[in-house]
Amino acid sequence: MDATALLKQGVRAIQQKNVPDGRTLIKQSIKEDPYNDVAWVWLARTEPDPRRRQQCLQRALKINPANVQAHKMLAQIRVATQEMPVIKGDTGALFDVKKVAPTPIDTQELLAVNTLPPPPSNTRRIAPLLREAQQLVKDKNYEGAIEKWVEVLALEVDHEEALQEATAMLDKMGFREDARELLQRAVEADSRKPFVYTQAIDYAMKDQDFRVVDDLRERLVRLPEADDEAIAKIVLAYRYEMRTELAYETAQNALKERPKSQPLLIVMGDLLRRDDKILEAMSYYNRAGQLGKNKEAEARLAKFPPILSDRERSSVWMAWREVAGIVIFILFLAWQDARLNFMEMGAMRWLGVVLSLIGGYLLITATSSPQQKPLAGALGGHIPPLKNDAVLVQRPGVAALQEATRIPLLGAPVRLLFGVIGLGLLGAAVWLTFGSTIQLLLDLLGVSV
Amino acid sequence: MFTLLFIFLYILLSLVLSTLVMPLPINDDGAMRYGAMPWATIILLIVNVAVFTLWQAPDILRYIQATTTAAENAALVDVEAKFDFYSSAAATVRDATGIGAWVTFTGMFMHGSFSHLVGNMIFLWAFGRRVEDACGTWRFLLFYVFAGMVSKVAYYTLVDSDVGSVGASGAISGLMGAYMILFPGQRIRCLWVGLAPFRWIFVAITRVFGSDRFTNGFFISLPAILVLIAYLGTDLFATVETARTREMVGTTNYIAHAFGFFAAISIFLYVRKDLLARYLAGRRL
Repeated sequence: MDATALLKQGVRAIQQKNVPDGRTLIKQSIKEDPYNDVAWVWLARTEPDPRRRQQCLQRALKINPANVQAHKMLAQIRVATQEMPVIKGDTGALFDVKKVAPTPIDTQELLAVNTLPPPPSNTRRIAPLLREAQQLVKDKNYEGAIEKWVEVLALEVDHEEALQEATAMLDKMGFREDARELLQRAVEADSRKPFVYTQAIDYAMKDQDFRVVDDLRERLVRLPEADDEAIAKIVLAYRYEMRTELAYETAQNALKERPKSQPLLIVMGDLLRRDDKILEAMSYYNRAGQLGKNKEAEARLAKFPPILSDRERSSVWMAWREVAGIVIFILFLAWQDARLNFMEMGAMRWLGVVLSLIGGYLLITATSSPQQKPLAGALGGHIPPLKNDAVLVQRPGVAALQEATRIPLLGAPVRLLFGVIGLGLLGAAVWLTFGSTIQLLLDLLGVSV
Repeated sequence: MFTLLFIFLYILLSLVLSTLVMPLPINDDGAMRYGAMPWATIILLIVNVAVFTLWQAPDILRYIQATTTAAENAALVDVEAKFDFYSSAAATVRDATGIGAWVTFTGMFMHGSFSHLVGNMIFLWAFGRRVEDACGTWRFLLFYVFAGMVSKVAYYTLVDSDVGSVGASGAISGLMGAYMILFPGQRIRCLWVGLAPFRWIFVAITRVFGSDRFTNGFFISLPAILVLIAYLGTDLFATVETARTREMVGTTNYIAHAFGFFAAISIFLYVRKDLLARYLAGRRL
C-alpha cells in the first residue's frame, strides 16, 4: 500500500475514534514518505505528549513552512503549555487527545528518520527561484527578490543563501523584525545549520534579548554540525560576561565530544591562563600545537618556556643523535691529529672513535636522556610519582615545563655509574685520537707522561 | 690614554662606516624560550676580549707607540711570534710542529686588530645567545668549537698559504648559519646607516599622506634570513674565487666564513631534543 492510501486509512480510523490503529497507519505512511507535512500534522494530533506533538508539528513546518494547520496548532500548544495542560477541543483537533490517549508510540524514531535534506522536487524548484531573486536584485527590485527568497524558504526553511540574503536585505530596508522572524522559523524547525543560530544570536544580542541568546547558544553548542570556532566564540563570550563556570563547563563538554579540536583546546588554555593556571593552560596549548600547524597555539606557547614531553624524553634515536655530535667532534680531532690524512689515522685513533661512541652514549644516557625506552625499564628505572599535569623545571641552562612522565627514569646510582664510565671512556677517546697533539703541548710545557 | 681614545673612536667610526653598505646585526628581537643565562656566549666574549686585550694588545700597542725603529721592530717581532706560534696555519698541523693541531683551537681566540675583535664580538652577541638557548651551554660550546675547527681546516685544505688564520669569525659564521636554519623568520635589530637617508625621505612622504606607521632612524628590524643571506652571499663569492685561485682574496678569510656556515648543518646534532622535535614537526621553536 502506498503512503497516501495509508494516510487516508489512518485519518479515517482516527475520525472513527480508533486512534491507536490510526496512529499505526499514519506512522507507516510517514515511513513510506517522510516528506508529507499533512501526515506529520495528523500524527501530532494523536500524540498525547505536548513536547512530542510540538516536534511533529515542527517537522511538518520544516517540510512545508506554509502549513497553516501546523502553525495554528503550534501556537495553541505554546498557549496551552503556558496556561493549560490539556489541549482543548477547539484547537482544530478532531478529538480530545487526553480522553483517548493511546499507548505512546515512539515518534522519536520517525523524527530521526526525517533528518534528511529537502525532497528532490524542492531542490529542483529552489534553483530557478534563486536565479530570479538574483536577477531582481540586479534590477533593483528588492521587494521582489525578498519575495522569491521567502518562496525558497517556504520550500526549505533554512536554505542558507535564501535566508542570509533575505535577512540581510530585510535588515537593510529597515524590516529587522521580519528578518528575525525568518531566522526564528528556521530555529523552531530545529535547523541543523549553525549559521542559523549564529545569525539569530547576533540579532538577539543586538536586541538585548539575553534569554533567547542563552537558549540559542545552548542549542548551537549541542549541534553536531556546529564548527569548533563558533563554540570557542561562545565559550569566550561566557568568560567575557563573567560566567566563568558556564564557560568552563561548555568548553569541557565540547572537548569531550571533540578532543582533537584545536580552537577548543586553545580556548580552554585561554580560560585557564586568565585564571593564572599557567601550567594547565600550557598543556592545552601544547596539545593544540601537537595536532598540527597552528599559529595561534604556537604564538601563545612562545610566551612561555617550552614543554618536554615523554615522546622526546623516551626517544632512543634522539639520544644517539646527541652521541653523533660528540663522535663527529672526536673524529675531527683524530683527523687533525693524523695531519689531515684519514689514511694515517691508525688503529688506535679509530679505537678512540669507537670509545667515544660508547662513552658518549653512556654520558648522554646519564645526563640528558635517562628515560630511553626500553633501557630505563630494563635497568630498574621507576616512574616518578605524578603530582601535576606539568611542572616547571628550572636548573642552570634550562627552564622548561615538563609534562608529568609515565616513562621509567634510571635510578641515581645507575646514572652516576654511567656518567663516570662515560666520562672515563671519553677521556680515553680524546687521548687516543688527539694524543700526538696533546703530547706536543706537554713537551712544550715540560711535562712528561 | 690619547692613543686608546683615538683607537676607540677610530673603531667606532669604521663600524659606522661599514654600515653604509651592509646592515650590522646588533641584537635578536625575540625572546629566549628557555630563559637560560647565555653563560657560554658570555664566557666566549670574555675569553676573546681577554686574550686580545691582555695578551695580544700590549705588543700591538707597543708597536703603534714605538718612537724608534728598533722599538718598532722589537714589538713587531713579539706580535708576529705569537701569530706564528698560535695562529692556525696549514704547515703547523701537517708537520705537527709547535703546538700542532691545537692551532685550530687557539687561532679561534686570537684577533688581528681591535676592530676585528669588536666586529666579531658584536656578531657573537647578536646570534650566539639565541643559538645557545636552543642548544644548552655544553652542546653550544661543542658546536662552536666544531664550527670553528671546520672553518680553519677548510682554509688549510683550500688555500696554499703559510700565513696563519686568526679570529672567531669561522665559528661565528657557524652560529649565523645555525641561526638561519633554526630561526629564519626571526627579526634582527640592525644598525644600517646607509639606509637612513632613504628612510627619512620615505617617512616624510608617508607623513604627507597622513600615515604614522613608519619611523626613521639608524636602527632597523630586518628578517634574519635576509641579513644572513646577504652575508653568506658576499662570503660565497669570495670563497669561490679563493678556491679557484687557491689564494686569499684580500685579508679576510672568506673561505673560513663560508665553511663555518656550512658546518652549521651539524646544529641538528647539538640542539635540545624537544626543540628538534618541534622543528621537525614544523612548529615554532
